[in-house]
Amino acid sequence: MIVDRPESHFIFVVPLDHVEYRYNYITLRGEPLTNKQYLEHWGKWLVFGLREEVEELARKLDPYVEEKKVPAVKYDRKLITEFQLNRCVMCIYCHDETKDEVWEILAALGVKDKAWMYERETLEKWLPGGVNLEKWIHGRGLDHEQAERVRADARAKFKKIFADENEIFTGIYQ
Amino acid sequence: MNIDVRLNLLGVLGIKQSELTLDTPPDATAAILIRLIDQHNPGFAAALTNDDGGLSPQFVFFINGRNAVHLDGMRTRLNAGDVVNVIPAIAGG
Repeated sequence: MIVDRPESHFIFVVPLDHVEYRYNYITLRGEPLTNKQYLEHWGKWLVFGLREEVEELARKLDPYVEEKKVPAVKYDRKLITEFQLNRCVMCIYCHDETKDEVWEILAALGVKDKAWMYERETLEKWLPGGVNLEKWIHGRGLDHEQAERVRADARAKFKKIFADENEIFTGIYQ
Repeated sequence: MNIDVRLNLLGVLGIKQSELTLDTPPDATAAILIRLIDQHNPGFAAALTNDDGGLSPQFVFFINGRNAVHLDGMRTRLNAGDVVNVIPAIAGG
């Protein structure tokens, strides 16, 4: 089902089971991933488009998400002007062992851009020194002290979430 | 050999041609392809290259969906029919 919470920048497509029964879709063939497995294997296909284009694709992907052939989808509610992107970004999540199966679904729905990114790559970009966090800090015009606080928060949040590599990964609230 | 190139979300670089099919030499690498793209989009090679000649972390260069930094970076060999996508790193979710 499509989950549109107005307070979030992102709109999600997740199984109804996730919303009603807290079903964990971060799995490989039904087995939930540990933090270590998540960092090693979980990722996403990236798709770019205008809001109406990604919305249409989200509607087409919804049945595949309910059937659990596609674990989950997330896309931008609107363009992020600070980053000077002129398209919304959609992430179609899955384990790397199933990424070819998911790609076949995307290709059948007309997706042409083929771009796979691991979650760990994205997380690294949002850690101190990572290109995204530093760009965000620069774009906000933060002074040295504020920037250091943001970096420390990012580092602490990452450390807290992934403290025990054998714990089941439970997600990052967005 | 022909390589299909799609340059996404690169308005910040003033890209003139975002979809290209480029005829490359048979032994072409990512570095050679970047120089060819630069002929259509001046400034592209400078933006995609970091100080030590590797791929800039500001962009992600995908070959058939795989990030070239996990292949052989600038030295990654290309094959006929490969599809290359380039996006800014910030667009990675």
